[in-house]
Amino acid sequence: MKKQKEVGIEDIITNETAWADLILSKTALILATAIILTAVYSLSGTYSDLAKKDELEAIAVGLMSNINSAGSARPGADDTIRTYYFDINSGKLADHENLNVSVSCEYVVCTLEDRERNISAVRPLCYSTLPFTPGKVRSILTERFAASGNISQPVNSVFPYADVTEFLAMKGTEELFLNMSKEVHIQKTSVFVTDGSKVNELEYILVYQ
Amino acid sequence: MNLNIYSFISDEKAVLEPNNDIISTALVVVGFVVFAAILSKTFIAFNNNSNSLENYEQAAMIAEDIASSPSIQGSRPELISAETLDRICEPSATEKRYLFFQRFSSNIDFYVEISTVDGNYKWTIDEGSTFSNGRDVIAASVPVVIELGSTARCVPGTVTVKLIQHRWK
Repeated sequence: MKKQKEVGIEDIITNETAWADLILSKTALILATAIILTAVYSLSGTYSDLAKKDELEAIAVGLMSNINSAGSARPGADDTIRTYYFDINSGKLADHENLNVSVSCEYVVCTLEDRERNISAVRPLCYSTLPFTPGKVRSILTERFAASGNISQPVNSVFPYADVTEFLAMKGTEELFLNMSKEVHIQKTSVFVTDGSKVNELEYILVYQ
Repeated sequence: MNLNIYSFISDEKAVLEPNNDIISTALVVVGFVVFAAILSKTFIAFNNNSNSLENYEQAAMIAEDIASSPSIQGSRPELISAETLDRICEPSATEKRYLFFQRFSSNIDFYVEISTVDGNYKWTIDEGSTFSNGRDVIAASVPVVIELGSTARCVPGTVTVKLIQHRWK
């Protein structure tokens, strides 16, 4: 029977075949390569997401700036209905079936459902906005206050008109989803309120299709 | 021991030789980290700049709007009436200020400063709820002509809109 070799601390120190060294350094090399490849891959993935987000932001900003410029237009000369067409030819995403553009009273939201993840771009609006047609505004005001808010039929409300503004703001939080192949109408309108002695004007911007 | 170039070339002890790959990997990793850091820093800077530019454009648009607003207009459309400004700035005129700001969406916080260029008159219009407390403020100004008093004395001035950033930005 072969005599078992004794392994002492002396042997480990003086052993110069360095197999542990080799295995450790090669493992470290493989790990490092794997990590670098993952990092490069995720970086390029992030880049394509960024490109999509840029395009979504361009769509959101285009609509937002049109709504804002409708708001800053002075009444009189510019009191007509503005029409905005989405630029569907420039980008890759415009005709995407999972692209949703919506307007509520505070924000323009542009969302793309992309492989179970949502990429979105949100822009706040500068002016008080309602996602309704002019007829809808008058009808919901008539339904609630029995007055349409026209100059001839002002809504009875006292300062700070919280009942009117909060009612409209609450109604306006429902998002209006826009069809990008159709034009969007943007119009300025006024809701007149009266406290019995004088009539005041509350300005809103209407966005509808 | 003389350290000339010859000693490097003919040195055959090979202290680093077995771990060559680790050194080169470390160099690659360091290079990649630096590259990623520069890339992300550039992106963050670009994002910040475009964000502030967008906010500035918004503030400039509001400033233009207010400068031509009929509610503070003087005897001619291009003039701003100091008398109307005095009335809006009165502490009791909350309704006037409310109507002044109603057109604007409630999710943007801003206040308006109107002053004459010589610094003699200054009006601040706010809704009483705009405190910047540590938040970033973006300001935009437009030049206007202010009509002082009823004698139609006109002086140059500026309308400054100070837009207060949301904390979560």
